Order: sequence, then C-alpha cells, then structure tokens
Amino acid sequence: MGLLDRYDALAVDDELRSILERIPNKVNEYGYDAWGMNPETAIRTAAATRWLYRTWFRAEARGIEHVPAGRVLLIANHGGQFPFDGIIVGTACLLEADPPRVVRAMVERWVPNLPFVSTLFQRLGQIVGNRDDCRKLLENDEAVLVFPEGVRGSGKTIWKRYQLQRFGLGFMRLAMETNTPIVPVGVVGAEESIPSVTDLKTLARAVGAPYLPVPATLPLLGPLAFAPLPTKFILNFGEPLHFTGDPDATDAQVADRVERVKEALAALIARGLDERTGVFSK
Amino acid sequence: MSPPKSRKKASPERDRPILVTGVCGGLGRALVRRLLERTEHPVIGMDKRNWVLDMPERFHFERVDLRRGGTEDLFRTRKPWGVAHLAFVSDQRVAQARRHEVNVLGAERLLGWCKRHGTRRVVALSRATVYGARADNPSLITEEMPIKLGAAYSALADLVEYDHLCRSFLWEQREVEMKLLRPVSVVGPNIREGMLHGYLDRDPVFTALGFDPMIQLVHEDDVVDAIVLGLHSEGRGIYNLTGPDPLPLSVLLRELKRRRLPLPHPLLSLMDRVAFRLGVSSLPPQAIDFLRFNCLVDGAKLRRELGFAPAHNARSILESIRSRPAIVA
Repeated sequence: MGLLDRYDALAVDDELRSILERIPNKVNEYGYDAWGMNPETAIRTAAATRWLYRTWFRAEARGIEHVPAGRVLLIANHGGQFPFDGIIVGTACLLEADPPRVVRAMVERWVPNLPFVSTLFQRLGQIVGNRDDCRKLLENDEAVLVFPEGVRGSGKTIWKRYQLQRFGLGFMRLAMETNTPIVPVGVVGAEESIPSVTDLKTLARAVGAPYLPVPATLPLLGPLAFAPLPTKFILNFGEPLHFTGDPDATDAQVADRVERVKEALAALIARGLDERTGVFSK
Repeated sequence: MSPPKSRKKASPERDRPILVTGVCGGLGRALVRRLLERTEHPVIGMDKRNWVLDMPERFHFERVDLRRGGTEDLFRTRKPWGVAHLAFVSDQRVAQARRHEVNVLGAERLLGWCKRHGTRRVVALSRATVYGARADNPSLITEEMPIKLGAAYSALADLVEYDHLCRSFLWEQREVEMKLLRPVSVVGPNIREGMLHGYLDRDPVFTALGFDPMIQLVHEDDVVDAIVLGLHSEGRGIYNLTGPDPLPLSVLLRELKRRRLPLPHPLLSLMDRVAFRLGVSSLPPQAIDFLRFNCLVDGAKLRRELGFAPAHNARSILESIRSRPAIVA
C-alpha cells in the first residue's frame, strides 16, 4: 500500500468521499481540469483544513445557501497576516455548500517559485494570473474568491481590525463583463488570528515582502506567534448582488457599485461581530 | 537565364503548387499526404535532406538548402500559391550560429520570395515554448502576450527572433495572407524532434523536486490538420495550437512508465549544464524552467476563428508515444 493510500484510509472518511462524488467540476480522463486542479487533492487537503475549520476555529457558516451552483464571485474582507480567511471560506464552500464548490483564488506571483507549495496550490485550483485568467474561470462557471483589499487587508494591524481598506475595482468590471453574481462574505475571526501590533514596512521592502507583521505574542511565544490563535470564526454569506452595465464605465461609475458591495460586506461583518460572544468563544 | 515567362491567364489558382519546406521531417511527410488528399494543388517539397519515400502523383521534391542560392528559382518558375514553412532546426545541440542561419535568415529569405513572387497564403510554424516558462506567467497564455523569452533564454533566442520576424511580416505584407501557428509540444509516431522528446525518451527521467508543471501535448495529425486549415482559410493571424487539456508532468511520466528521479532544481540545472555540454541531454540548462513552471497556452482562438477541433485526446496521444522504446541511461 502506497503512502497516499494509507493517508486516504486514515483521513478521507465517508463525508469527504461523498463530497468528492458531488463536486461538479469538469475534469479530463486523468482527473485534472484545464488549470491543473485535481478534486482528489482538494478532498485530501480538506481532511486537514476540516480540522482547522471545525476544531481549531470552530467556524460557523451562515447563509451558505446564497452560494449558487454556477459562476460566482465571493468577495470577502481580508486580514490576519496569513490567509486563514481564504482557507476557511474555501473549506466552508467545499464542506457545506450544495453542490460542493472548489473555490478558486488568485495567488501572488511569487508562489510558483516555491517547491511543493506551488504544486499543491495548483492542484487545489489556486491560480496565478491576470484578469483574463479570472474571466476564463468565471466563463467556466467557477466560484472565484477575491479579497478586494489585497495586501492592504492582509497586512492590517490589530488596531485596524474589521476596518475595510480601499477596494480594488477590477472584480466589479469582471462581474459586469461576465454577468456574474457577487456574494459578499463577512469573515469574523481571521483578523484577530495573528494580532500584529505593527508593520515593519522598511524591513519588508528590503526583503521584498509585501508587509512584515510583529505579532503581539512574539515575546511570549517566539516563532510560534506566527501560528494562528484559536479565534472563533463566523462567516456570513450575503444575498447575491447583481450588477449590469458597461464594463468599460469610468472608474468613478464603477467605484459607486463597488461602494455598494463594500456596504453590504460591512453590514455582514457587523452582524458577525454581534453574533460572536467573544473572540475565543466556543 | 531566360526572362520569366508571363503566363498569368494560363494558370488558374489551383494549378499553382503548395510548397512545403522542411518536408522530410515527420510533420512534413504527413502534411504532403494530407495536402494531396484534401486539395487539388500540386505539392512541392523542399529540404536539404533527401526524400526517401516513394513519390506520389502531383508531388515533386527539390533537394535544396534554404541558405544557398538556387532556391529562389523555385519561386520564379513554379510561383507557389501557398507555402507551409516547417523548416526549423529545433535541436538545441546544433550550434547557435547555424540555427540562426537556418531558422532566422532562412525564414527571412523565404518570406521575401513569397512576397516577390505572388504567393497568396503562408502558414509558418513557431512554437508555444516561445512564451517561456516563468513563475509569473498567466495561467493560460493568449496570443497577445508579449514574448518575454529573450534575455532569459539566450539558447532559444533564434526561436524568439524567428517568431518576431514572422509576426512583422504577417502584419506588414498586405498581399500575402499569413498565419503563424504556435503549437504546444507536438508528439506522435513520426515526430523525433523537439525539446520534450529527448527528455521523455529517457528512463529514468530527472524532474525538479517539488515541482510538477502542467504539460500540453498535441498530436502530429492535429497539427497537420491545422496547417491545412490555415492554408484554406482567408485572413491573417497568430494562433496558439493546442490539443486536449494539459496533464501534470508526473502523470505523463507515470503513463509512459518512466521512473522519476526528483532532484532539487539548482542541482538539476548544474547536472544538465554538464550533460548538455557532453551532448547527453537535449534540454539546454536554461530550459530547466520548463520543468518547474507552467507554459500553458490558450488555444481557444484557433478553435473559434478557424473551427479547428483536435481529433486526439490525451489517452490516444499517450498511446501513440508509449510504444516507443526508452533510452535507458
């Protein structure tokens, strides 16, 4: 028995097997789609992220029925230094959405340089790319996760938690161009998972990183401070928003529509914060 | 030399021949067969190698070298209606100066004759490797992406230059309708050239540890079909030419029953530098990037605009090369 078979016997249970059968993505006769995504790898990885999702973060996904079966742009807030928000939203869509969705996200351009990580990400459906690539994913009826705050969001310090930073406009033009509904996802929990007190911008620039966090727990935990704290995650999926119009509208016109998404997202975050009884609650 | 005879009215279009350069390669031979089946044009094949098969009707072979004089006379006397330009030295072990002479200067002369002697349609074959394998490549490369290979891959400079030359000709010459095809790795029972081939023909195969790029393959028959399609359709353009959806390199090697030897990529490129110098490896050291990063191209334009539909799926492509024996190292 190979190592992979042993892992499958140990980690992939009936729940995950039934999800694998229901994943609607079209793959070729060897099990890969045009971008290199492999549903089996997604399921094997979900065995690990499910533990993060259920046990470590005790995540709750509300309104997941708003995630449609076809193309959709999931727009979420971003924070917490490492993309645990992305992992948890992706895990929720795979475990709890009907049909299960393999969420695609656009990753940073240096990711393909990393051995093992680059291969894993590709098998999981994460892609490096530009707007054309994103458009092709949507035309293929995929669920694409976008953090319009970008690194402005993920590098947020703890003092700015849940304050939405400036949004990029690209996702809105894509939604209009491809007639894709937008489902805002308010993520609560991620922005405290690695509480950073400051961002060492100059040092970050020197090493070529987008930001360099200093976790509050650094003196206490040392390098372990970069592991996420077991914060309580609440995801609120909002109702789909539909936008039509000229995708070549001026930035100002597009910004108006983006503002409406931002407001909907802020309301979902506020609801999640209300629903949560404490940062580390059960 | 006698003055050129003017026979404008006497020769209808379909009596004018289609010229195939590099005709003795696997693709060239298959293309001749297909052209004779599908068109009424006579076919002229040209190569500096010798034609060893029998001569079908309506086919004429000229043993000439693109780089030498005398080739233009073929254009003066036969006035080809169409040209399929397949002559390209892709073996990286051939000296760069010689590759430049054939691939770039040869193509330049040929295209000049096409223009001067009234050739109507040209299909030139480039390669999708011209985009390069880079960490920051888009997931699916479209024809509009600027070619960035130049500085990073001096070993493939002739391909980049050739592609550039064809592109300029394509847009500048209004009289000649030209199509530039950029196929992904061409495989099939008759193909023995190309970077991937030397690589896949070995056993065991070295791979880059922790990397598993997606590889696109297209069957030789489908490439031949696309060339015929290109000669038979109007207009000009640049087209990526793809077959079925890509496969990870690991799956490809598993299906070909090759043993894999993963090495950290810095070590791999060091070893390849020596092996390439010794002529044991067909992969230039810089091309190790193709074992790490994707160079996936989007073939939608050719399917949309010219109605191209590849007949071979991944399984039948692998079947066609599985039977070939590996070179055991």
